[in-house]
Amino acid sequence: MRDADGFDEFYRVTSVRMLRYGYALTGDLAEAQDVVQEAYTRAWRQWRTVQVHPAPEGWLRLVVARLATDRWRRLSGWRAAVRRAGPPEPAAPPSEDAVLIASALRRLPAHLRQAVALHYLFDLPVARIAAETGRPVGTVTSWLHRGRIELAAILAPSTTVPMPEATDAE
Amino acid sequence: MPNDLERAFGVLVEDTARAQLLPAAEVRRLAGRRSRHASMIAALTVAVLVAGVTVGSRWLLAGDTEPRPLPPLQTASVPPTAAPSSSATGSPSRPASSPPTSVPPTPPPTSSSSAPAIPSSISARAMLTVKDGNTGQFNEVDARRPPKLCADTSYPSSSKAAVRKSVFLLYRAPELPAENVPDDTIYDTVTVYRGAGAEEFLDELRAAVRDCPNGPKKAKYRSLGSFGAGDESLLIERSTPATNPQGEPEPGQEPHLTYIAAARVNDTVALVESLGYENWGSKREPVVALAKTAAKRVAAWRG
Repeated sequence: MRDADGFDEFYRVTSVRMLRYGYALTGDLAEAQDVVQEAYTRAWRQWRTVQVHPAPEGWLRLVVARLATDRWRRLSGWRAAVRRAGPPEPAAPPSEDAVLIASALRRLPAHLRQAVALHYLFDLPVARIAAETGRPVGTVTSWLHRGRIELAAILAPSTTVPMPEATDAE
Repeated sequence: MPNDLERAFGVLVEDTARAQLLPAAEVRRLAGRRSRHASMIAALTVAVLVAGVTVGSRWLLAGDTEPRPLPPLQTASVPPTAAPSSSATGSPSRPASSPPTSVPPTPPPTSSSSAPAIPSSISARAMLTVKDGNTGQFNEVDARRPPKLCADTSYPSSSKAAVRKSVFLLYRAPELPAENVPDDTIYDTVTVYRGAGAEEFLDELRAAVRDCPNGPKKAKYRSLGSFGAGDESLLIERSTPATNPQGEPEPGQEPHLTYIAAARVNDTVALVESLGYENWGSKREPVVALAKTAAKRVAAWRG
């Protein structure tokens, strides 16, 4: 028997953080809702495994990161059909600043976006990010450095050359 | 610069408040859906991702110098594995050097959403067999309804039961000689449900034992939780007062224990019920073993 109470508590504690993470990775809040909801449905299906894992939230972040890649977004037509059962899309428009930030994040390569999001949203140290992404600490250190530089440059367009929007899956 | 980025992420965090998430219970309910539409979507997802793997030109979260290939897909019949393999898997590939205690496990596929079409009948290979009983006493019987723990126990999921089959067998432990009387009376019932009926049945069974700890004829019910079979399972202990071979109460004797074991595999439930033999109750271990075998048969047939 899966522990519904345990799952519900996990969902209550982590889902808002996960939504922020999905937002940072996808750059779109409605899309983040889809991705996060899908991730939690997978977690529930595998709850016996997830529940006993030493890092269930990290487990879920990996699912969210995967779902946030282009291969998921390319299925948007099909996802729209699934969405009928999901949460309502955000009623209010995003703030101008949020649009700017989301747009800037989308222009980062996916691995840099993931690294900076894990660092700034979850306050994860480099070693944890390295463990979660399966990359050496040195690589992640480099990602974070580059991510910060590039993100800052994008957010200050007068000081940099325009960059094309990144494609996650390539 | 870091402070600027912290502020930038702060803006994003604040903006997230525009969105709502479903209640946890609704997420759980959605996870159990077995809609045809979801199956089609899962199938399409598989097709697209397989195509991506076949082409072999896509890279996920590429590193600075060592790009990581898009992980292969996972299908319903393949359990999650941390090691990259040539089989289909939706899990992230993981370098062997990753610290095992800090690396999250392989995220799961959406395997359970791709249940096959409802069959017209239940195959014999989905059921316990005469060999499982070790007595030669085995029959197919009329399909049995789910156990009614109390007078008001109801199973609304029965309206979603598409096809059901029951078999009866007498069980004797394999190490015992043939001249011994049987140990137990077993019914194995397999039901394929439409939609989310199978999950709903498990929920209803949990609710039944929770709401009805004391049944008719001084029966007492107790949930023993999962017995580790199928996608989810539930073992219920039924305790009734001891009786002598004539069926008369025997005060002071240990109560008569029998079991109800239900395991769900996708949209199908295998329910094994023990009744004991003559005035003897059941032993828990053999009943659980039979229930696990029943769940494996269902998984092999329909998982």
